[in-house]
Amino acid sequence: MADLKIAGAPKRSLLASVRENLTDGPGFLWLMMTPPLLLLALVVGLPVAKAVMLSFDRVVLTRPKLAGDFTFHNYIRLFTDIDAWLAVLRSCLYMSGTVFGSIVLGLAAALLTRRIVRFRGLWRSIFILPWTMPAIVAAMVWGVMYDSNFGILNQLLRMLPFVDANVEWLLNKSIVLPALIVVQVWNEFPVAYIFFLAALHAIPEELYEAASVDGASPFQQFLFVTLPQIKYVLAVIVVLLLIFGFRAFPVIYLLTGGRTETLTVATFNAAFRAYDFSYAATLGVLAMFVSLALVLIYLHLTLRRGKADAAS
Amino acid sequence: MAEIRINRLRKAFNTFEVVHGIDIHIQDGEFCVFVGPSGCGKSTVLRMVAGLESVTSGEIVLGDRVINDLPPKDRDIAMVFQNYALYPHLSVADNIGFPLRMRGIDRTIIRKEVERVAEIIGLRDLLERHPRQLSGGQRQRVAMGRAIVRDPQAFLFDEPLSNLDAQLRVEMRTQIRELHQRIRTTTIYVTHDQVEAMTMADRIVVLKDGRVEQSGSPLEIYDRPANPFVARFIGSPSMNLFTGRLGEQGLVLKDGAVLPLVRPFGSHDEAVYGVRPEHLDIVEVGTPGSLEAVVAVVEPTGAETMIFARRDGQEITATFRTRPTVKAGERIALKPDTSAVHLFSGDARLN
Repeated sequence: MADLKIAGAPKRSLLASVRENLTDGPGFLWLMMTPPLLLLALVVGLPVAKAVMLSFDRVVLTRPKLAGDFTFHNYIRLFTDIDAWLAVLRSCLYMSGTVFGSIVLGLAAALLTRRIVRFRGLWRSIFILPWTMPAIVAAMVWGVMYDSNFGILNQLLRMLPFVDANVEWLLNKSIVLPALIVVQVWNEFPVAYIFFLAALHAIPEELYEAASVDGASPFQQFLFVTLPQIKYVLAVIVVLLLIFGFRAFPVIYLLTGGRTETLTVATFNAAFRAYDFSYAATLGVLAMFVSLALVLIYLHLTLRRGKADAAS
Repeated sequence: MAEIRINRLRKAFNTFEVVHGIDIHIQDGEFCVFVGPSGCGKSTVLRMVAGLESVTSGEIVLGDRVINDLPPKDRDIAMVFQNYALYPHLSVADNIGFPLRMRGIDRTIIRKEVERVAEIIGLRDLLERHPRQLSGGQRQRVAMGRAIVRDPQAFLFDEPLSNLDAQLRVEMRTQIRELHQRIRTTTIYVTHDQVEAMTMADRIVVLKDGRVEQSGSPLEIYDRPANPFVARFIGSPSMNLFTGRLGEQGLVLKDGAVLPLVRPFGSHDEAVYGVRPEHLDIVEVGTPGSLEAVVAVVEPTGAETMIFARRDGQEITATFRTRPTVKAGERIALKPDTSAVHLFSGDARLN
């Protein structure tokens, strides 16, 4: 207060009026929003715009003369490119597989460790550990284990009496996708685990006591108490893991060298194997629309929940 | 419906024993209230009966079955929890019907039963609501509806009214009592509120530190408390207790004042003299057998007037149906009604 007096009344009122004018109305809102919006435009908007522009061009490094004209060539090609749609199918399978695996594993781990009192921290650390490992490291470690000749998986498998040949985990086309999914699930199920653990801890113990007195078996308790209580978290994790699964690249690329094409790998191959940047950009635009749909579902879920919480 | 026998029941958490071998026998159809200060083990005993806590040793018999090791779902009892424990994702109707649904009963029968119960507890119009849309009293009624819907052998109430405001608590007290008179199911009701215990119980079991202090009808316990703890715990305001030595005329306090007894006691042991606030009379200062004290506060409640007085640092409470004209700071003499005096030695009652 003493400072204000020294500063003098006229100066302060000028400052105050400036401030009032600034903070009043939508002008101030936009003033405050502009820097982050500019930043977003720069780091997100610009690349997206560039990609969209590329997709209507023909920038192919091996055939530089094609470039420069506006064309639908890439989109026409995309709609007739069976490999591209197979890649989309593989992406979908990969997504569903990883989501399903991570949910089941994460929920099982959370249910197991929920009521544990002894070494609780240790159990949690163990289940969270895979998540701390970068996907690249996880892929390399699993790559060693999957090795057809020297990998531990085949060594173990060969101990069984009826197995007499090595399994080509990453070369056999009907096995490679599940094999990749296992790695991805191992790497990211802790995300589901943490979400589920938090959700389970938020369920009052009294509900289980009431249910058990009301005659519910442990399975009925899971079905009628646990599941409805974690429904929302479950939905959020599913969408989140779908996004993770859809964007997955390092595990697939490192373990197969890009032979197994999901949409992301196909995009990479188009750009850096075939040097057809325009077609890669077209695949990228397709991927963007899928991601966008997933993100919209995610936002719908979380925002609706936020509104419901605010209302109650 | 069935009787409940609790025989030499013990409960220890690791090596720490909280219930020390208690015996309680609750008759078929009886409304039994466990009352005691927090930590006395009353809730633990209730939870053992429900099957939510394991039994360390002893026996719980429901009807003719020992239910010690039965899981809660097989005990055929219903419980009302302090925080209601309603299923938040289910409607009122589904909450009430839950126990039936768990038993795989047909949906049309469940609906009929739910409607019957809703009628009893007065929630007919709220069946489609969710718990978060209900008031505390309504939630409590839903919890009760869930308990009575399947006609169990016994009801267990774990401090069901402690989350309600004072007025609602009095209302619900009556409703629970009425409900019991109507369906006559054996009930154990746990509370720390002695007024609840007095007003609701057929029989009160007073617990302290994992032991039964006394068991009996509310008036028995009020009129003949077995020890100083029960004497002070039951009744509001609390009984006045004076420690002194027995003498020819009565109980002699440290400062020489004498509290009268109907007949002299042979012994000269130390004893505790108890007299309820309503059994004190204001007499002229100097009257033999009276206690002099200085009035600290006078509290008129309309029906009664309460006087808090002090003597030698000890507080004395007296209540009067009449309206005595005393003021704070005044010196008065209080004379106990000798026919209503309680005399204790250590933990035992002498008279």
